[in-house]
Amino acid sequence: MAEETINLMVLSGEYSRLHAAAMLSVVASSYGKPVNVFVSMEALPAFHKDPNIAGSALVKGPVAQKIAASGGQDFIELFQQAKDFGEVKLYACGLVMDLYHWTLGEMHPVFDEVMGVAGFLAKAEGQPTLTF
Amino acid sequence: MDDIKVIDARGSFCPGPLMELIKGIRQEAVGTVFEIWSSDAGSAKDIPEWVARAGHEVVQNREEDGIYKVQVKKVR
Repeated sequence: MAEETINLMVLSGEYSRLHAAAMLSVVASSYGKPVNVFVSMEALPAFHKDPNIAGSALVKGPVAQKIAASGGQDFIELFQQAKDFGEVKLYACGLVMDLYHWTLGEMHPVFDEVMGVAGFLAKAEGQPTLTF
Repeated sequence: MDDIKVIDARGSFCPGPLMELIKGIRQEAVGTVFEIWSSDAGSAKDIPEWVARAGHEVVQNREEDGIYKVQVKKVR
């Protein structure tokens, strides 16, 4: 039986939420569960290649600071790992991309395409969707 | 013990040890037994959950001097 797809809406620039979404993606993909990740709002700038842009978008609470200091994989690496393990697609929100006039080439290369909310809803319809 | 592949993930935190185990399982043949060493208790509890869901087998799960050692057999 095919695994049910899990859909994540990642909207927050909080490091801990980004890390949690990435961990969930990598574990789900490791046992064959497809994952769609829609990255929008305050979360998307955290995926920019420019460390100044990404750094100013990230909010790190005490736990996130501990995680970052632990020296493990960061959320970008975990999302990449998730894609290596299985069928994981990341979509960059068209609204935020347009607001900043960014192209996918300026973002970390984990994204598959730019997508609008209607496109993501069509993919997620009838399937579990979690928001981070 | 020669045929047990030890994955030393001491010092890394969840999901680091699990990630190392998954990479190992993806690379080795069915029947391979791994022993993952972890210094964090969370991984010792979480790894068996992943193993069950992924359809493999926990052979042994023990703690020695603060190090958690989980033996996992790749069965598919």
